[in-house]
Amino acid sequence: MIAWMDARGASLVGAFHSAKEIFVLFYGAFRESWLHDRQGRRSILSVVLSQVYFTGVQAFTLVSVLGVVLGGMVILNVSAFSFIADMNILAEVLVVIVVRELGPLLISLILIARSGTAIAAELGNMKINREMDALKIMGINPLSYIVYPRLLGGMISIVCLTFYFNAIALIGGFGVSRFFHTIPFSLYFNALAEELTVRDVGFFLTKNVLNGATLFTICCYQGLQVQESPHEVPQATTRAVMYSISAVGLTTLIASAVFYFGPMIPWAEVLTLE
Amino acid sequence: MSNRHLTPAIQSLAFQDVTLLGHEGEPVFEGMSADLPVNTVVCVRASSGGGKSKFLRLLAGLEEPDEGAYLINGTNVTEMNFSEFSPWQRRIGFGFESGGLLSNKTISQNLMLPFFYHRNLAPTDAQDRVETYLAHFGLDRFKDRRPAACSSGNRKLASLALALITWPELLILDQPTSGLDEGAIRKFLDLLEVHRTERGLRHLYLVSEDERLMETFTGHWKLDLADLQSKKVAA
Repeated sequence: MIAWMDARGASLVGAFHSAKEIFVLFYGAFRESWLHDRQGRRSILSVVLSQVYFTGVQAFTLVSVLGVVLGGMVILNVSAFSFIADMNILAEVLVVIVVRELGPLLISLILIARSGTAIAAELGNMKINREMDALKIMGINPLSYIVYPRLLGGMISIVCLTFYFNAIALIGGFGVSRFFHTIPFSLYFNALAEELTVRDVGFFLTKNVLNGATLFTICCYQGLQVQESPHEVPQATTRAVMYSISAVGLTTLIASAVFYFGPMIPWAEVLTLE
Repeated sequence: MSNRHLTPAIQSLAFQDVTLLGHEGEPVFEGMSADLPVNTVVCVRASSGGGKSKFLRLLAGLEEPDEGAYLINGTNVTEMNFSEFSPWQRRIGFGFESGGLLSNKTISQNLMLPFFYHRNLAPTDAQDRVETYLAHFGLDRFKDRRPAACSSGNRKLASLALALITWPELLILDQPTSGLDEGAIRKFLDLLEVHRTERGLRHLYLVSEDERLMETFTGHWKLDLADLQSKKVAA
């Protein structure tokens, strides 16, 4: 029993230690890039743009397909209930399910699978190949040149992709499901416009930036944990996926809890934009 | 490099009670103290697995000691953050035993990177310098290839060119001639001589099993790492 408690305690301490290091990595990357690496900003910007291209632009097709499918499915399911005659209820369900919850979560999962794994493997291989050392010798901080662009590019991409996903799900989903119902588009659009509030915009930005920061920092951190051997790379990639899925699940849950129950929590009231 | 006025030239190098632990926590160096030779060529020696590469990494500032201090001109650089150490770092060149080139950039882009990033040389001058080094090593035909698409010999030459292209004051080379043919070694030594006589290269530390290479450096130091951990090496 004592041994079991020791092991659980050690795991917990290890988890807190890793969480601290992940936060330090995020802070260090932004601090170094903003405060010190002024001369390299043009080089860093080109890496940020590449990251946005690989993470955001190249994922458009996949996100489009998933957006149309999810939007269409939700609209069909909701409109199939004959008792939902009120268009406002359909709009509310769409905003709650697609815009606030499933959109951010699905995009995070797609980016973990598509880009997070790529980043962890790339950074791991860079360490083995002495590329980080080569950068240091050139006087280039890997935090500014390698980590920061992946974090910033990833965060920009996740916000843009989720916005695109929501738009495709709400509009494209309506278009696809049009064959199965007779809801007029103007009525549908007006109901959605009424349902979406400024609070949703704040929630959308907060949740996606938080998810992006969390998942990309964890993936970078796991990639940087690789030391010497190529066999560590798939292990680091697997850890990156596992930990970032768990962390994104947690941040999504916390963000939603603050959004819905924030007004009841005195310290969280400020986060609810009300 | 244009930032050289920010820091004085490297006059002295020293380790004070340096302890470095390996990945498993085993000591690679324990209480290593030495005033290291400067203004000369130093061949670092140790038994196999004796920490030669780790020593070179410590010297280049790539490895942080777990205890003790690394002093450049009497200043403890181990207490510096990346930005503070950067001016010193840019006076140092490092030739890796393997790797050391960015795999997502071409050979030419790798050599351009320090100038592109720091903007300490006009773009046309930087381009000219890169072209000169590529031509010297016969790499101009491969300049638009990524490292993975080049032979190991050409990757090694590109890595050596990268170590030299910023005209470092302290050059550290880990097995510089491994995998190179006689012609390539000759070209490298010729360029090294130009750097020593005309381009401000003053301190050269290397690890090499190539005795013929060492014979080319007359009057070089032999630095045995086993000695550093028990007695002080006089410069």
